[in-house]
Amino acid sequence: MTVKITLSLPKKVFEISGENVYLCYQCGKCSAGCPIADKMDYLPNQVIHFVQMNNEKALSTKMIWACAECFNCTVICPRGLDVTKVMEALRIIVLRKGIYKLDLNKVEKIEELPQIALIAASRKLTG
Amino acid sequence: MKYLYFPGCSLKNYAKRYEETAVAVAKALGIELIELKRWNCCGAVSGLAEDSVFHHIAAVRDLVRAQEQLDEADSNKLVTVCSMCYRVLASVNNRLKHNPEDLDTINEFMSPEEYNGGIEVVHLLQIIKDDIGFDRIAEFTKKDLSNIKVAPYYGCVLVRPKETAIDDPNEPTILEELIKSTGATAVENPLRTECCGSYNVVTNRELVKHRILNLLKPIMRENIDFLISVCPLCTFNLEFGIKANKKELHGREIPVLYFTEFLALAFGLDDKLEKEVLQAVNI
Ligand code: SF4
Ligand code: SF4
Repeated sequence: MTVKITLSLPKKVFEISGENVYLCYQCGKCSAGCPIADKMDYLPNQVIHFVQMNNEKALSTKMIWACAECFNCTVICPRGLDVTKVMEALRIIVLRKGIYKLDLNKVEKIEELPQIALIAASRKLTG
Repeated sequence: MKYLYFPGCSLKNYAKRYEETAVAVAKALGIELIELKRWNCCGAVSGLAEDSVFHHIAAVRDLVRAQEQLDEADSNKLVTVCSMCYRVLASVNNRLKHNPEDLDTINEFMSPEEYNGGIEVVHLLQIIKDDIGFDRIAEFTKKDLSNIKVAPYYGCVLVRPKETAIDDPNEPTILEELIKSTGATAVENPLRTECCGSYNVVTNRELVKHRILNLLKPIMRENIDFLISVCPLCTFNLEFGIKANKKELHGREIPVLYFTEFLALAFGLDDKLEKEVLQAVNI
C-alpha cells in the first residue's frame, strides 16, 4: 500500500516511525489500557488525534514524556497502529531539536536510584 | 550445557542478588553460564525510530562479543537474565536480521568489527522451560512449598511487543508454570503484565507510587507470601512503591523476589540468598 501523507506532522511521524496515524479511528482502547494516562494531561488517543489534525500541541503534551514504552497500546490497537512508536517519534521530533527533558543535576536523591532507571530515562528524555 | 551469558550492569551492581542466584540455580540445573569476556551496557531501552540505527550500536557490540566467543559454548544462544537487557538485545538482533541494510550501515560504522547475525538472544526463563523442562524443577526442589502462595509479576518487557515476547502478551503462563512446578501456589494476578512505571521513577516518583498501589490492589486480599519479579527495574519500583504506600497497604511489607531467588529457595541453596531476603520470606 502506498501511503500518501501530506500534512507536516503526520508526515514527520511517518518518516521517523513508519507509522501512518490515519489508521487510527479514535476508539480509545489505547487510552483505556494505558497505565500512565490517568495522571496525564492528554490521553494517548488524544495525542494521536492532535497528530492527525497536524496540531503541534501533540509535542508539548506531558503524555509523550511520561509514556513508559510499555507497548500495551500497540498490542491493543484494533487498527494495528503502533502507538508506542508514534509516541517515540513525537519525542524524537523534540529531542532532535536539542530540547531535552531531563537534567540529571536536578534529580532529587539521585543516589537512591538504580543505574538501569537512570540509563533508560537518559536515553528516552535526552538526545 | 554451556551457554554464553550477558549479565548487564544491574546484575553487577544494584541487582547482585539476581546474578548470584541465577548462576547458582543454572549450575544446579546443569547449565554453565559463560560470562562474555568483554561486554558493555546494552542501553536498557532501545530506540524505536525506523530512520536511525544510532541507538543500537551498544547492543550490537555485545552481539559481536558473543560472536567472538561462540566456540566456547554448546549453542548460539546468548542468555540474558535482566529482562530489559533481554529485550534490547533481542529487538536489535531481530531488526538487523530482518533489515540487511541496517546491518550494513552498522557494520560499516563498526568496521573492521562485523556482526554476522548468527546469535540468538534468549532469556534464562526460556532456557529453563525449553532446554531443561519444568518437570526437572520439581526434581530439584528440596523444600516443601505447598503452603506458600506467591504472585507472579511479569511487567511489560518480557511479554511486549509481540516480536520479542517470550510468551503470550496477554495471557502469559511461564512464571505460573515455574511456580507450580516447585509445589507452591501461584495466585491469579490480573495486572501481572501491566507496567510498573519504569524510568518515570527518575522524574516522577509520585506517579510510580500510584502505579504500584494500583498494581497491588487486586492481590491485597490474597494472603500472598511474596511477589516474583523478573526485572531489576520492576523490583526497584515494587520495593519502592510498597514502602511508599505503607499506609495505603496497612503496613504490609510484601517481599519481592527475583524468580531465581525463588528457585534458589526451592532448591535449598539458602547460602546463595541474602540474609534480608531469607528473613523476609521466612521459609
Ligand atoms: S486503539 Fe488504535 S484506533 Fe483506537 S484510539 Fe488508540 S490508536 Fe486509535
Ligand atoms: S506505551 Fe506509552 S502510551 Fe502506550 S500504553 Fe504504554 S505508557 Fe501508555
